[in-house]
Amino acid sequence: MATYKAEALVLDSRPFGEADRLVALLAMDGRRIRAVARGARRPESRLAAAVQPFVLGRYLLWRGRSLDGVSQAEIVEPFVRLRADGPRIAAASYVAELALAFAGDDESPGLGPLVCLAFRELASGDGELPAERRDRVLCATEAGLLSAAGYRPNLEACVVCGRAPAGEGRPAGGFLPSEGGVVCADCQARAGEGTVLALGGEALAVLRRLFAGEEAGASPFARLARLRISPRAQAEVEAALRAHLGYVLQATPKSAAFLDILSASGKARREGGDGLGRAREGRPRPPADGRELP
Amino acid sequence: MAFPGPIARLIEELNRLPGVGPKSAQRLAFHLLGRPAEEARRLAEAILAARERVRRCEVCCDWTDAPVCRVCSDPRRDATKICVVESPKDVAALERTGRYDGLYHVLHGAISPLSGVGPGDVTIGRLLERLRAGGVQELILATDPDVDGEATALYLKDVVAPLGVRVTRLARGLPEGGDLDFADELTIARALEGRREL
Ligand SMILES: [Zn+2]
Ligand SMILES: [Zn+2]
Repeated sequence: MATYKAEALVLDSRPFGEADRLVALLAMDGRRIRAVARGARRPESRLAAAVQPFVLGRYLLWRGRSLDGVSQAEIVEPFVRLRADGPRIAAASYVAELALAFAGDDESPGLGPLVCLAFRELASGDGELPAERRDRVLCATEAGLLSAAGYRPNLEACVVCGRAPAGEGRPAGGFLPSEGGVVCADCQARAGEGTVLALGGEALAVLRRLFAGEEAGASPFARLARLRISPRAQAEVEAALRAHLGYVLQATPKSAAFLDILSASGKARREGGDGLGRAREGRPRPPADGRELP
Repeated sequence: MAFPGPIARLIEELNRLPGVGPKSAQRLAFHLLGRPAEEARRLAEAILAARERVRRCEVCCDWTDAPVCRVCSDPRRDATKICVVESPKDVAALERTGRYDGLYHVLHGAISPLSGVGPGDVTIGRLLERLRAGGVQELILATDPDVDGEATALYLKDVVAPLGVRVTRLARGLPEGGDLDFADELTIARALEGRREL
């Protein structure tokens, strides 16, 4: 039987058949691999731990007619802390789901290392993952995924009239998801309510920094790390990124709602009620057509 | 290959069962057709009877053929302890040990961000009602040792905290009879975290 090797991250893993797991791997070259891990739900299985979500491992796979399979696996980095608390599990799941949505059968250099970095960022630090830190890592990941896939938003000129979006005595405009970029204040006023998201000067500067080219050096995480960002700008950046993602993917990540359900802020809200709504609308979600990622 | 209508339909229905692929479905269908009609009738009746008579226990949500299951209605069980599991199969596994004398609660699933299964999709609401009714001193979380099981346990720990019930989690460690050096990093890390005084 034909076999091949891959160093990969497990981005999805769900029960399949009697005792198997169906896994989605992101190879370090950016390819997505779907494979079955036979017997991986039995406690004595040699594969059990290596096909858990968020694990980085080296896999020996066999090629099947409709589905490949994992025959051997070795853990490189287990990312144990990604399952240490609810906020980390939710954030890592969101990153995993987004990355899978961007990965395909072709190589996509940069994708694997980016997700590895995101996992490392989310895993670091003591205690429960603080919301502020989580939000920054997620924004940087979203920007990194969009850049790697060639979906950089237009942040330099108004997507309607082509003028600079702000500055020279003119107030900041907003973000127009359907055009994938910023609009100036004049065009925003003409566009009418509801279609344009607020995006102040500070938020615009953060977005530009996030999408700065390779020449800016370092990862999007490092670029954001030492930046002081006001809560308002952070919220605007998040909303713009998520709206842009929604347009690019034409889908809503299922795990987005869990960022709230499994987080400390969600917890505070739960203490009032019975904490049981279904997966509620959490943070700003992409205004997609309601389709969920496959 | 196209089979006559009734055979095709049987294969299609069998194919819906978990772990049964198209090939196995065909094999099972032809097996059933090759056996006496009485055998097929018994199977069909068993499926129907189970489906009609078995329901969720009003207390613990385990499968039962009475309003309240045998464990919940057994006065010898210790009602101060509730062990939370994902599926009825887990109740059976714990019962086989003969080492647990408390009650159960079956979630019928686990919270899963990757699959989009939220707290409202499992029986956590019913569990909270049981806890609020009082009398429970310990909640033992026995969800699976995987990411979904962990997410569920962490969520339960949070929502149960205001109720003042002691919450414990099944210990996780090395498989019985195995060599330490064969264990994977995740298992060893967990076993270290869960180490105890001798
Ligand atoms: Zn304009
Ligand atoms: Zn019961």
